[in-house]
Amino acid sequence: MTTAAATSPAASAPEPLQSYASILRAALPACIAVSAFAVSIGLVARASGFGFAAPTTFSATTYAGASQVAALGVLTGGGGVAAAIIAGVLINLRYIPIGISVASCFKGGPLRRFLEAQVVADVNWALAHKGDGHYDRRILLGAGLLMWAMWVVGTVIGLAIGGAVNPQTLGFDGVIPAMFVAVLVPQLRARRSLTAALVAIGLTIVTIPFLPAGVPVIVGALAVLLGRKRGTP
Amino acid sequence: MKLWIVVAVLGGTTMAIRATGTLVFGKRRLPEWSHGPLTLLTPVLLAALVVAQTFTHGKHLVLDARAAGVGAAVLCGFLRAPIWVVMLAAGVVTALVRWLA
Repeated sequence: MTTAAATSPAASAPEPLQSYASILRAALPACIAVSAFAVSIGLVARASGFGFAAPTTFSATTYAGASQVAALGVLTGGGGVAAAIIAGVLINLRYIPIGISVASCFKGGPLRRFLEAQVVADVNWALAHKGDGHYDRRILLGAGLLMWAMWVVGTVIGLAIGGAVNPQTLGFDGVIPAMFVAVLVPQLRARRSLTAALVAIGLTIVTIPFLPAGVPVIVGALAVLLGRKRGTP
Repeated sequence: MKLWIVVAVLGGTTMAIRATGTLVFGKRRLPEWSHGPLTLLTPVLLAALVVAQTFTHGKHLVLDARAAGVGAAVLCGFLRAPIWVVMLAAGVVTALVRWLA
């Protein structure tokens, strides 16, 4: 990915240093919050006696905080393996609509696109949004790779230090939804988006008490169907 | 060990879920009727995620310090503050309210 620009200097203007700096600047506040979340997952896993290798592998492969917390919670609460898996999968179902929204950002054959898609988390997905449903591939993948690395490192740090500090007391759990708010608010100036967002909020809130965690977000996402009446693109 | 099974199955399933969008829809032209809904996908998902991450604890609707932090974020957002200010404000307010409570 890093040497791609070297072969055709004339074609698509190579601006490596500048673009990496801008990716870093865009991603830094979110990276801090993401790392804090990863540390807290490491702390939880350590406190629950899951060892070192399994929680680290968990973060590297699943790379989705809420589902990891839910699965660990089911296991420590005496639940079965199947219940833990189902809880985690339901929470991660949002990556289907998220993946559809960025489907055209990936390049190459199926294997390469499969691998590139693995660094998509909701945080870098939100950061990469340029408006009107378009996404910046460099931010999506650049920030994604950075956050993935910090996710794994943060988990290891949490596992290593054990229950010394809980990042939750520092307010980090309010920071990630706040980032989504920051990306969302400018989009609400369009009447259609505002209406759909409000309907999504309503659907999500109403279904939270009745459906397993993660599913209410999918129900809320059905608000996109409001866009079906031949709106202008 | 139990967690290893969860790691393997949940990890594998999540990887497949992540790749579904691009493997299924990446190369083909999407039908005309889907364009309207797709333009709404981002705001709708963001709104649903904010609600789910702010007002839930497991399957319960809760109102806690996070709501104050996200409230501060909404205010900062409408005042067009840069993203890091929005996040910082939310973190500080969440921590303060939790500390006071």
